[in-house]
Amino acid sequence: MNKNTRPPDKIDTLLKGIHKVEAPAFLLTRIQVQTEHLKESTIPIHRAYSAIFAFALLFFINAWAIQQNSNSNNDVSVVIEEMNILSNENLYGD
Amino acid sequence: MNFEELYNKYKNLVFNLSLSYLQNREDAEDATQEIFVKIHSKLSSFRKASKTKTWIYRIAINHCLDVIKARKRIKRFAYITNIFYPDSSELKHDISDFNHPGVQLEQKEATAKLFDCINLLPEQQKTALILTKIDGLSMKEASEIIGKSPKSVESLVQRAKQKIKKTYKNEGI
Repeated sequence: MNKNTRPPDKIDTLLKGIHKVEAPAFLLTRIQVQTEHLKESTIPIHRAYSAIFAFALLFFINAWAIQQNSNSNNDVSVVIEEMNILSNENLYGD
Repeated sequence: MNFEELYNKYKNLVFNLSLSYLQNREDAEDATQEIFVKIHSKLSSFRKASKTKTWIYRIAINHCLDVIKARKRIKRFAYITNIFYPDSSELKHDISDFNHPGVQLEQKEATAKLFDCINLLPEQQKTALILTKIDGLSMKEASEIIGKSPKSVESLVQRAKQKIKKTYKNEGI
């Protein structure tokens, strides 16, 4: 027998000698537990959209409130300036 | 076909394939579990463009290759850890030992050495060899799973064997 051909034959023989084994019986239970756990931990899509919508709404309300507040502040500052009622600690208006 | 039927039909196929890639019973059990969890989550989106068996093979092969990559990362990390903790005589985070329940005791040493050589092969050569020589698939079936022509698969198997032969020669086995 050619020396060079011996190792591949040995490879085939060894690989053919590997027997098929049965998967353990407890695996299905483990898989079912994991899939159930995954189901519980996943957030439903409609809940995710509701959360995004709520945050967006909150953001716009806040932005609108800040804008309103800054506008009213401007009005007040105009009145203060025109009536010359600036808060000043100088009693005699020097 | 529902999930439980699918599991009962393919559990041994997936478990034995995982054993061929990982050569460790506990790792193969974990891999089989993860593979079936993936199958469960992807089952609704499976459009039967390929055969169910081919689809399962692909998921299983990809998962096992990912586990091997993760093992290699752990091994690299172990070497680095060993540099910083030289007191320890053995490697921290060492990888799993050869523990294949399908190998007979008298063949264990020789098969472990053969798998050491198989583990050095590139991914596609390893897959072609496992599918055709251990799982006993035809070149056509293996080619559908790998996504290459039967001739390319045959060539991959031949190159894999040549590489193993070379490693055998170099190590004097």
